[in-house]
Amino acid sequence: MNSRDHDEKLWRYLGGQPPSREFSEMIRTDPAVARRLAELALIECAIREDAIKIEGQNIMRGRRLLLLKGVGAALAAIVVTFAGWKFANQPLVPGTPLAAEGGASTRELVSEIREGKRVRVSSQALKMAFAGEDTKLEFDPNSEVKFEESPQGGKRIQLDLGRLRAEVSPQESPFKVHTPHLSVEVVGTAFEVLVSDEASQVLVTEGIVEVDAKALKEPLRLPAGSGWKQNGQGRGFSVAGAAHTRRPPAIDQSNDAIWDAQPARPTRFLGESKTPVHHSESDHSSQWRAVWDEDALYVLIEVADDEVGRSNAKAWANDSAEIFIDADNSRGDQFDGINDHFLFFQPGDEAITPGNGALELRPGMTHQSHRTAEGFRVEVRLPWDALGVQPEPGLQLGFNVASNDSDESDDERSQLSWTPKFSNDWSRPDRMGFLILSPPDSN
Amino acid sequence: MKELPSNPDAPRDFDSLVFEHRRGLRAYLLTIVQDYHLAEDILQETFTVVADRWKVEEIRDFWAFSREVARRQAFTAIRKLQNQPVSLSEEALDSLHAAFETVGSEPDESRMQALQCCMKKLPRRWMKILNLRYWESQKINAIALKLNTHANVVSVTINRAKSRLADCVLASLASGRAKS
Repeated sequence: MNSRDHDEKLWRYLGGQPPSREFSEMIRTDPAVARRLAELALIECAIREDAIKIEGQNIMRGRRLLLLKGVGAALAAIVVTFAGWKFANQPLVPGTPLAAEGGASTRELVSEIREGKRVRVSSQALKMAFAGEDTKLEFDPNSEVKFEESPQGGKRIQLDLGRLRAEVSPQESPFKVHTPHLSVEVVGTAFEVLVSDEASQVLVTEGIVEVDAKALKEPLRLPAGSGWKQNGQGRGFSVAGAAHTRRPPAIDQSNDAIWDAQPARPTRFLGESKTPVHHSESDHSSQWRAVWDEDALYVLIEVADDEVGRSNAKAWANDSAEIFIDADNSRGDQFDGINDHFLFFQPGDEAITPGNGALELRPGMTHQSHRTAEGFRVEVRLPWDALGVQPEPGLQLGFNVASNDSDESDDERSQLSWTPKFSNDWSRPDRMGFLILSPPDSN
Repeated sequence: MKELPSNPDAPRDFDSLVFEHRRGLRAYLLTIVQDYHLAEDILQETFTVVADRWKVEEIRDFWAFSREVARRQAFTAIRKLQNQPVSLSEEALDSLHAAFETVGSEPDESRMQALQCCMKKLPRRWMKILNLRYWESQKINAIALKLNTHANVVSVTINRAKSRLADCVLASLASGRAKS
């Protein structure tokens, strides 16, 4: 047998082909063949692991990523402790002893991470903790990430794919997360960033983060329970979570305690503007909250308007509030006639007015609206049967809330929207924001 | 960490030893378990065990000791996963263990530098196939379709390319040793 035949057998063995008795015997009796198998295994590993660079360029086009593995099946993740985040051209050096959960094998992982080196988290989630601070990072399997130091000296993570859940303790310098679509600046908070090839999304669970993206003319400060999604086409969307409740609010004029526990999401995008507006709050401002249970979605909209009145037969030209829902988040470029809803609420009206082009009002949808000292308030109950979807934690709905203020004439009319909304967007589910149902016990 | 003046590896720290030998150990594990990803998992377990020993006891020969641990970890993993013994006979595995005594002990960096040079010498089409297979993670059939050829041709080409790289790296390392 010539060496080429030998090699072919050896490669097939390394590729997983069960060895025959003859093969086993060949390895046992011929040290040269055993050595050759060892050499080929080294080549196989080297090719799989390392970027082969020639004259500064990857000879292999496409992405070259280091695989970071977990520490065994018993652990869902690994823990790495850094001595701070001292990025230099040298390998990071572990500082304090590694956390018990991770074990020392993570030392290898630590020594693999360099400033600016892109890595891929492998089949287990990667958890990282940092010595001397309470910052914790958790990357989903297969996330692609790069750790860097920003020019200002702060920590900077480039997340190109996957999901990062972060709890960041107060930082002296900004802690930043960049994705292909947006950037997030954190002072001390908890949040998650989700990146796909098409879009990036940040959702804040605690504290405040500042997000910047192509769709925004200026950075947007996101409070807990809020988020932002930015797609590769330069369009941005607001994101929010709706808490699950076991005690749904009554649809009446009372102020249920459940509402006070929910974050208020402001409507801050003026029609035709990418810039969040800083409107006179008494003249026109609005905010909304949402909760859900197994029966319905509940929405509270509070509108501040120093001059509430009706002057026009068209609901959109009056002081009013609007809810847009694409219940199955199918995001078509027009209402689908199946489960896309567009609803108007006018202070004092007993009926909900369906918007043009969307479904007629479905049985069971109820509301209560009344004037308040600041403007007016709308409480809405939208049964899942009427919306046309079954609820479950994690369900995403296309969603938007808007409020209209019409003081004297059409020229003075203003509309505020939760997610950026332009002139023809009202009939486009693909331009709505995202409402995500949180799991039970999250409130 | 315990100071071990009698340890031949003592001037080096644990991290640098791990860094130096990780590829060799991974390759050794690959020859036992025949699965690159499983080898990677077992490698992590191996370093956990080796690190525990390093904290409390002298490790005179890091490469030999970690190879022995790796072998035991591989046996355990295979039995756990497949409920069957490893495929090669015990004697064949001994032979492999001996082969790695010298093969995987060379400094990683020399091997990688040699590999970089050898890559340049591969025919362009071979390089393209390796690129598609390893860096773009394409399946053999997909590569064959893309290059308008048979899957078997692609498989054989990949193996020949890797064999040539192995020959070239060996020659380069031998030449380096001769010069020094």
